[in-house]
Amino acid sequence: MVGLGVDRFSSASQWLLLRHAARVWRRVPASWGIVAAALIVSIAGTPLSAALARLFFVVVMLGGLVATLGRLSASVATFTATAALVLVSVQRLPVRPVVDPPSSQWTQPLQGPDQVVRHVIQLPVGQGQWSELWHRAAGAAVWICARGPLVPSDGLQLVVNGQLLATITEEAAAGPRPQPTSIGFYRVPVERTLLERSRPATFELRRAAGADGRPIDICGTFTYRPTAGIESSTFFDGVVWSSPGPSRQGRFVIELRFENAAGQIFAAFY
Amino acid sequence: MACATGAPAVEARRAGDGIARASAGQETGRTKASDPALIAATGATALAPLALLLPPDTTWLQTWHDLLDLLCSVWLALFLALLVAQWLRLAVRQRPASAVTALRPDPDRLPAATSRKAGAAWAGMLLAICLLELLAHSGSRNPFLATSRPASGIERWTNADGYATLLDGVLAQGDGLFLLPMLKLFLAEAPPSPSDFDRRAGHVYLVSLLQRPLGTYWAFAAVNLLAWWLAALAIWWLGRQRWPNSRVPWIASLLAATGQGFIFMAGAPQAHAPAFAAFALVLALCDRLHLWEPGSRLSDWMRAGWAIGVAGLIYLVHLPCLLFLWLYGARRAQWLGLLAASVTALAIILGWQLYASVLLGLRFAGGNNDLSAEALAGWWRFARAGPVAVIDQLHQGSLRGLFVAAFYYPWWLLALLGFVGSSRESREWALAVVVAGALPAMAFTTRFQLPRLAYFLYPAVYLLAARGIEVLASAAQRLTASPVIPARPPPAIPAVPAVPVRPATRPAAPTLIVLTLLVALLVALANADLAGVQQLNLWFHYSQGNLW
Repeated sequence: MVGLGVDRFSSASQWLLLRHAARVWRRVPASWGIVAAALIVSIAGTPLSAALARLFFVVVMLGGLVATLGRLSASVATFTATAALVLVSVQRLPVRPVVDPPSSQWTQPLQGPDQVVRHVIQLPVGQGQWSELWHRAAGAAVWICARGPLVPSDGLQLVVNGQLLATITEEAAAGPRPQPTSIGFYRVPVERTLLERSRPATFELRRAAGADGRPIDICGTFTYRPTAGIESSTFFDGVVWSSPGPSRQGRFVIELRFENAAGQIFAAFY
Repeated sequence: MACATGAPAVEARRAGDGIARASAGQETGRTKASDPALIAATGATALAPLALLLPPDTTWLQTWHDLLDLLCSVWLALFLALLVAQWLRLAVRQRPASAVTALRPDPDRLPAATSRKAGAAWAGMLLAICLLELLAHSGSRNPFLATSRPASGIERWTNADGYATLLDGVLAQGDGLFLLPMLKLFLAEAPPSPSDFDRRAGHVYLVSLLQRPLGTYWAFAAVNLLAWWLAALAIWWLGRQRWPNSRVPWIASLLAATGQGFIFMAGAPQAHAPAFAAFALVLALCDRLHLWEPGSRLSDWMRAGWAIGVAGLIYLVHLPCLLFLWLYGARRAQWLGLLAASVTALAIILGWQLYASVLLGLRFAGGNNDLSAEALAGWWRFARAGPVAVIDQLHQGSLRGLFVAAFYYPWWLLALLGFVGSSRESREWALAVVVAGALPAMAFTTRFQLPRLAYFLYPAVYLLAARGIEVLASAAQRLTASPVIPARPPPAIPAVPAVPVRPATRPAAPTLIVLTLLVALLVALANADLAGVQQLNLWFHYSQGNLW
């Protein structure tokens, strides 16, 4: 009897509880239910760190947005909550992982006289743009990025179209660098006639015979629109030629820049 | 819970989404009182020339250009200082009576109802304009990136492509690279990794919601586009509230949709465009929640605080937002509300820092917050060194150069005209926005010249410039109008009362012509880079300095 009584009481209280819960639920705006669903979709089954990061923003950003909009318009809040649910669902699609960009700053050591860093630039020689550039320019210079400091005994030579143009030292340093041992630009003026000697123009960095044997870092970066194709930069290690283009979407930082009378650069090619 | 505890609550009539404010008639009581802006301008004009006598070393003041530049910068600093001082004084002395007066409803000034169709059409038009602008300035054409190239004549440390990275093969501004660890965290692709941008996680979270369907670069761009569009809509809405029954909302929203700051930032994987939008949205939300009226609810203040806090998770937007809240609200609203909003905002910002430090191991070191502290320390150093050091800093970090870089002269001239041609309440609101946007940018000048920070003024500048355009257009209309002399009423019917005859005017062609020309001029200037002219963008990037 007692047991039966308890069962009856229990079922009655459960019924009342359910009824109360249903009443409360009816008072909760639909938008909150959708936000709760968005929260579950967002964090369920994700690694803990991602779940924690998302949890904060779903609650604070999306939940707060729905709460604020709910004060202004229930339908707008519901629409926003639905949009949030769609977005957090889309966020979980297993497509398009974030691809790391190609490195914008790497170096290639240049150690001995048998090694060569080469970069080829397809200049618009013979085109109207070429004449316009020289009409406006006070001069042109090859800008090379390397790790400093460079001294004469390093014997870092710049060869343009087969002709030795300069041995690069700190005197050619241009632009800012945090430390003397940081990478930075070296600027070597070049004549138009030398640039026009061959097409495409070839720029090589070599070590002079008998130069100090310490490796010199030549800067590399990613290549976006190389004038002479993806393999415009190549490195000869004494045995084989290789290009950073196909493997790492890279190039050596050897650029031809045009400068006006005030010394300002107004065009650059690589 | 209402938080109007001291002031008698005034029933504010609302029509549609309009906010009631003081009418011209009701303002007359206050116009007798001194105008803080006028006093500040007079004081600054009187005091600024004295600064030219202070610098001991005049090697950098040898030209009229330099002298005038310094004079302008000193004037700006003095004007803002005097204005803020007066606002604070009034906030303490004249509350709550002035607040009540200022907030009396004025049905005449309520915005005319715009048909839903017209509103939707304009919203669609604004979205189309923003999209076109984004596409025209994305990738390698992004001005933030383009002006970092050595060929722009400024930078000598970047490669030919500028300060860049490749996101999904698209050339993008280089700082985007440093947001990828956070993006990967939200996409569950990598564990947490601290960076300089931990405080801007809100922006990256929004990007993560779109990265899967759009890819990395275009997810950033899409968030920027959405923000840009919302900013234009917010400006339109604010225009309707603050300059009702005028063309201001339409013109100003068009100026925002072609705004230089958005053009500069929309194609960059950075938080600035959402931050710009957040400021305008907060301004609009404050009006929409009727925070400036007696009887505003504490929960509404907390909602505004939430918005500011979330904006602070995107970028340092909480600074101009909170400044605005206090500068504009201190005389109009209950301080309990202001306090509630401020505490809520800071709780969200600091809450994320605490949460992510403890649970995710982020460091929140570096970035602009550290630089802000250094910038403020710089001002403190100059202040202690004396007025000469401050004057010297105002030369080194020309405020004139900073603000002209953010908005070129035509915008300022039109805004000035619009300021004169606006009601006092609109002027005060706009000035509060200007000061709130200007102070962080000015504070930063000891460290960096950042016109992109000064761009937070855009809601006020564009709305005032729009009003200026309208004033000029109306003047053109008046100049070309030929009043029709009313015919005398026939003497045979003397009992009929004379009907006032409004002067008939020609069709509004002059108005349209002036409007179109001026808007076209501003749009063309903002888009000059498409014709190969990067000068405005260069200034926007690096400030104008002491140049003119």
